[in-house]
Amino acid sequence: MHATNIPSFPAAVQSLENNLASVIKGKPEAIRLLLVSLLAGGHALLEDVPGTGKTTLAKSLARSISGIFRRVQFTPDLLPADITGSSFYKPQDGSFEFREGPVFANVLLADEINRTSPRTQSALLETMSEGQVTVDGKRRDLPKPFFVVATQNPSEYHGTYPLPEAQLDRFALKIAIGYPDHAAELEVLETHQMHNPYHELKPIVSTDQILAMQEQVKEVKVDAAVSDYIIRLVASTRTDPRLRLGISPRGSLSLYRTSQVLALMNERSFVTPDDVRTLAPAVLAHRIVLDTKAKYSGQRNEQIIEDALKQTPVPR
Amino acid sequence: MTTTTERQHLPWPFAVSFLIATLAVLISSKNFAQLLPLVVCFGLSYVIPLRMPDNKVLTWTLRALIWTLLITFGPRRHSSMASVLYEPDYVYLAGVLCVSEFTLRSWIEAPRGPNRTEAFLLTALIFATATNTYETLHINVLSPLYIVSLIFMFRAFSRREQLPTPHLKRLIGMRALAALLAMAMAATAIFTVRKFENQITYWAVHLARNRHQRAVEVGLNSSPRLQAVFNPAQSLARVLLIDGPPSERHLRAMAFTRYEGRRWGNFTGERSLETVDLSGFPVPENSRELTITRLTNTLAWLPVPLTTARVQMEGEMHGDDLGVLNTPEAEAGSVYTATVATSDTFQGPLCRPPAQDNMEQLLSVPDEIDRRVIDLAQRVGGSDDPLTRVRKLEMYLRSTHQYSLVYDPGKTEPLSDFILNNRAAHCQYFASAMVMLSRAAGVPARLVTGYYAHERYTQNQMVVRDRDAHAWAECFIPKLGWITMDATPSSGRPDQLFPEPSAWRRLWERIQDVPARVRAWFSNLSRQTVLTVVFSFSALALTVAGIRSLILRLRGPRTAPVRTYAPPTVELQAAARRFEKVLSARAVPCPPDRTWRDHLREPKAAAALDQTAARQFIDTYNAARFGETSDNPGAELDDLLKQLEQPT
Repeated sequence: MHATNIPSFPAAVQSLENNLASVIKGKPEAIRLLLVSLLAGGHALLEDVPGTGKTTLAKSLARSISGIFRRVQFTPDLLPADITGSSFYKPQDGSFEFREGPVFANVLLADEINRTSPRTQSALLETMSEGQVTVDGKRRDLPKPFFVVATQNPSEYHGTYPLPEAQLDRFALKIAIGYPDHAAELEVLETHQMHNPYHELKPIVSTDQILAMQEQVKEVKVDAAVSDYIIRLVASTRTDPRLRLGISPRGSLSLYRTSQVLALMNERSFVTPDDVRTLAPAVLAHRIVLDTKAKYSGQRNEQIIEDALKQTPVPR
Repeated sequence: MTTTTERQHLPWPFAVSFLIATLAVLISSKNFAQLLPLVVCFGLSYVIPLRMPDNKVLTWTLRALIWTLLITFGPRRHSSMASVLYEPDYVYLAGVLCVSEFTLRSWIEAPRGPNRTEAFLLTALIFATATNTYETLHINVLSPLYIVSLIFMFRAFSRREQLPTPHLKRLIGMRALAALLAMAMAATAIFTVRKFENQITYWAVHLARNRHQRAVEVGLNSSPRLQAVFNPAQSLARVLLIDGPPSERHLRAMAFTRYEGRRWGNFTGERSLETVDLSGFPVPENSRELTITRLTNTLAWLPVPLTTARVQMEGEMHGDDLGVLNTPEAEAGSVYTATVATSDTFQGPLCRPPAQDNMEQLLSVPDEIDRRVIDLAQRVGGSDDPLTRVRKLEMYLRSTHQYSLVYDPGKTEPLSDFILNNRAAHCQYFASAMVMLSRAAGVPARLVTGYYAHERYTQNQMVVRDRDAHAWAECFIPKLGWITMDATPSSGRPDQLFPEPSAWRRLWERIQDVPARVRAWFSNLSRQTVLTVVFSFSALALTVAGIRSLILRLRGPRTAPVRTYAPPTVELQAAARRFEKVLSARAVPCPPDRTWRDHLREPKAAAALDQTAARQFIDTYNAARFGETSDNPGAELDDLLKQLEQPT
């Protein structure tokens, strides 16, 4: 444990949060969750109606960490090569040159990810979990950190391909931004009167710093009782009769890692059950699959996770 | 750990064992009707606390208080504790217990749990019923208790600060409505009871008392008096059950020869009963066997038809020369069999010809009887043949006299007055008149009382009820013997006189018979059969349970096994306990599924606790519990706890 590093971590997070908050007004929770998924080394899925600032949030984050930002608008005719990149024939010397696709970035915004075919969606799978791309049998490493922010619209069902469970499981967190409240929206209008605040955004930390912070997170202590709590929470979803699919071990690992980030953000070198409980809905809700009966009786994923939290006693 | 406020489910072993115990009690008891409500109430009073786990102390205190008060000041003292279980008073007591329980629960839980308005209405109804026990003492004792429980209810209602105003208003409205409805229902119940008091009293007396006693008191008196009303109770209580319909419907229980001072009787010392054995009499060609079950435990007489040839029963049997049979072992449920000749004129052991000494008695018309009766008899029954004479007299009485349930004898001698002037009375008068007229016509005669069997019970069974008590005459005709002469007009016989019992009554009797039938069925089983059945059922149950547990084991555990978390150090455990004590002392709810930080967000905690100290405590505790602190936080925790334990 590098005790000297701990104060710098919350400070860095705080300045990142402030930076993002200057663009995205009135949504500190969403910003914080986005940073949690970045620092936990995971990926985030933003789900909300159009126009709530999903893209702006992702772009602002990329600029704040002085990373490369790329954006892919997912459409039904998008092909895997459009994401990963492809080799081009060079007539000068008769060789093939690899041109990198948008996936070679620090922050990749996969906009409206559920609009493309499963084939293209699954091309993201390898990149998300391995941090590498294989094109023409050759493996190419992606820049680090590699952070995918995917957005999807819940209300538009025409021409969408719902994300397969395997891919949903690869997102550490699902974040709902929601409409801003009255005061925040007023502020948005005022700040956008003359210019877009995004253009004034300055980088706060370097990508190397982010990598160092990700390493620092791994050293946060998780007591056996808290790990036990995480396992129980996850296990209770596996026996829930309303669910067709419970939480995978990948889910419990995500909860473990993100709880560590939250502990460090709160200037603690250990995880408390409060951290776990705070993050559980965002980390777990999108990973479970309701059975048909529960789905049509109006049960919501978040409610199932709330029930799991209620059923599981907290270590004291 | 804190207690959970969630509603508990009724564990199935409790329900099953309760059902089995109830069945066992019902089968083994003879007092089925009185026991049933007690069992139900008793069960309820145990189920209710399970359903509503809060505030056990108050409930049990109140329950104990009511029990003690009623047992101490109750109207009757009981020698045995067992009688407490089936006395009607205590049945009502159990109802009252349910009332208090329901009432308290429904109101204490309401602010947090569901609003049990329906429970409250039910309580009021039970209370209204429970206090209508025709004992003012009950009402005097119970009403204050009910009011006390109401006060408790309203005290619990004062926890209103948790609720936002619109919710509170709605709640108050609901409760006011419930209270009004309850009062209306109670008023209706009381009004109904007042209006139908007589009927209800009749049924209450009917159910509560040992109804069989009156059969002997009224219907078959050992020295019957000519009264204004015969058998005024006319109870529907069953006295005898006869397997195999008798050809002769007159079942004679007692016979009398002497009439004196308006009273028939064999006075003290006159009736000499000796042990008799009627099992050896030769059975006539045409005969039927009747199996008669006595359903009362006070009827000592053995009613049988006059043409009985044989009577067999377990135990001793007594008889006299008038053909009266009785037994010293009078117990409900005992059975005797009578072999009865189908011929009307069959002379069996009950038809012993009168001895010369008795002849005078059998022919005597007492001086108190008007002499004109003798004249009448000789004028009406003018014939040489004694049989023709009594037949004429019987016809005379039937055609010229009418049946009436009530007869006002006035100051004159009732029998002569009936024969000569009044000419309308009940069967006792007809029978007595027949005896007197027959004697006056020179035919020996005696009065017989007993039952007139007419009501079919099942396909091959007849039932005799208390109201079927009847009186008739028996005349001795030379060369023929004793014959039954029933002068009562057919409109006055029990089969014409009374309406059929209601279908409900019949159903109720069938239900009452169930325990006895089950008992009889069990007693008929051999020990080996019982053991075989028990063992095979146990083996079957064990096999099913084994297969089930095997399947469950193969399928894997459905729920995660309940384990406790790795505990912290003893010091921290003590600190945690102290902190939770502080929380519960401030009435901050501490469900186990939430952290202390969650508890602090409760509105109650915000007001009742020193927030800074509480947060500091939680942080220090968490650091020691989940973090890697090397220094001992004991002293710091202790200081913070002391700060928190001080009243704010």
